[in-house]
Amino acid sequence: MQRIKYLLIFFILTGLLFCVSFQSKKYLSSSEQSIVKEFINIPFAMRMSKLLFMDHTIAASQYYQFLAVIYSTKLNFPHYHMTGPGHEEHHHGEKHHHHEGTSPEGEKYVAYRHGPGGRDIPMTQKEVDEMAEREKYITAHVSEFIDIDYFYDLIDLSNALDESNDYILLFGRGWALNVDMARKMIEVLKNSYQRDPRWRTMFDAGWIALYNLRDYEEARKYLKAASNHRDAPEFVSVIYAYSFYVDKKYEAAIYQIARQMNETEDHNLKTRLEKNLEWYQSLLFLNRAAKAYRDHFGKDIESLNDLITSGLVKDIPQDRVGKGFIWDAENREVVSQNVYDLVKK
Amino acid sequence: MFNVIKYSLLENLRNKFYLASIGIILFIVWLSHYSSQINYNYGNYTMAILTFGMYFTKLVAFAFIIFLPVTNLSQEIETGTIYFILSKKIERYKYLVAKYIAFLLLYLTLLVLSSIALWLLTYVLVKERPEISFKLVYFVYAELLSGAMVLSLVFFIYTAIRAPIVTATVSAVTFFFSLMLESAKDIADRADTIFVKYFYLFLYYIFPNFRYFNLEKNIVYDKPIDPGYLLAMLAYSAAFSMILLLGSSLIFKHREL
Repeated sequence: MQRIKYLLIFFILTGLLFCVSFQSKKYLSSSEQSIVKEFINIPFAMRMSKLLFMDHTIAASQYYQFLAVIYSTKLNFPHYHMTGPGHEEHHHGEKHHHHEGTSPEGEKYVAYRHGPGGRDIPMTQKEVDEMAEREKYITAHVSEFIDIDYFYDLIDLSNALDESNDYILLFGRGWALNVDMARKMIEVLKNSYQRDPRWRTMFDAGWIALYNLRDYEEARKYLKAASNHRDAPEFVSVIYAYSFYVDKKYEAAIYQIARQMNETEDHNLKTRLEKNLEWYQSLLFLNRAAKAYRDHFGKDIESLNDLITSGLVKDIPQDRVGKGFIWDAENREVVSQNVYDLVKK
Repeated sequence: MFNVIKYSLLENLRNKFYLASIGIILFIVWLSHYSSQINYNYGNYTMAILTFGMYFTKLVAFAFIIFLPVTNLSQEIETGTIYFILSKKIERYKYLVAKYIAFLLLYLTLLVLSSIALWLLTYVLVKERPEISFKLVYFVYAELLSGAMVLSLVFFIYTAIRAPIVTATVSAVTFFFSLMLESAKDIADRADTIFVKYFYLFLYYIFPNFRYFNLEKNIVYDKPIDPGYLLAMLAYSAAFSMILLLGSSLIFKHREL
């Protein structure tokens, strides 16, 4: 009898606690954004991490990496795979991109996404277009979902606690969705280079400046610094040299991305790289066609339609990253319209 | 003396705190497994799991070595068990050393158990970079030496002040303070006055430095470990522990229970 009484009291108290906690947390979490801005003081966190993690700085680095990974999920960035030739090789060596068939409405499946328990969910072109639109919306409005400064501070801190943690730099680079994120990532890489001067960090900074920011001067500065390292592989100076030529630049990008895809085991990153590879292939194709037009007609194209009317290309490939390919008359190259820049305008 | 070790071991193997430590360690190994999966979807799994696993093991083992000996010793004094043991013509210092060995062995079992669990996860289940998981032997070695020093510190403080909670607190503070000793050296180097300089230098040299026992980077990144360094660690830990054990034996011999 006594036991039942205690059990009853226990359940009543737990119930009361739950009610209070539930309501309070609901209120606090809804008003959190207006009161607390996510912020991290890197020098202080560095000192405290050494104490809290009992000098296990690698564990502290992994902890902040963990936070960054969890934080990135706030973006809820679509993850899907296209089917068909050219897409089979990049899935951990397993060819399971074959999802032939049609939807109940009779539409052909062209892609798939991952469902619970590793199950593949096939997608029609319409669903892919919706996902692509969502991707572009997120890319253009990242600040609505995450605090970019906080996100890159977590990455910086993780690398500061363990200079050998290259994965976190790779991760941060993979999330450089727009100009602001690319700039922050370059800062992170520069900080990492100050702590531990390695060709790889300068090369990555150069890469981002070259391909994400299209700031050729800055990119060459970093690439040159990277190529000056004795242990830098040959491709660093090749990419530095190629950065002076439009078509060669994309050729180098394709070569480098294919290399990265072979290097990494991270599925998310591999999927993103696969998409970037396609994008660079399209840019290379169009820039080569534009060069052929110039060589043949002795003048630049005025728009991409000139390539079709001249018969150099059949159609303009779909831009899966930006808002469509356009001719940049100033720099005399075919570029992808940046969704982020369009929003800013 | 052997009997004291034996019965201390048997008694504490059934101790709730020890059993809880085992439970927590197995739980953290499981937790490391999942946190590693979030950090790395594919690849580098061994590195992530070992990093988390070693840190959490150290955390639990540290709590164990700080709390269990003092609670056990104070219980034996309060219940009068110690009078019964000492009436068997065992010297007080032998009793203390036997307790020290028993707790160190228990500490070792926690480390070994955790390492085996981590090894099983990484080597048997994941089969990724198995050479790293074998390096957990170095982790056990370094942590055992570090634990020996902490335990001698706990014994020394407890015999001196005989207050369990204060002993645990002071020992923990000493441990965490030692992690900041490099700052004491920096302050000494930049000090303007001789007093401040020597005060911080005194702190730097007299305080035990537990940072020397952190081989985490070498294990995780598969870097070679100099055998000379391992020997120096052993010498440092042995010297420090023996001095403090000698001190605590002397105090224990002359004080009223």
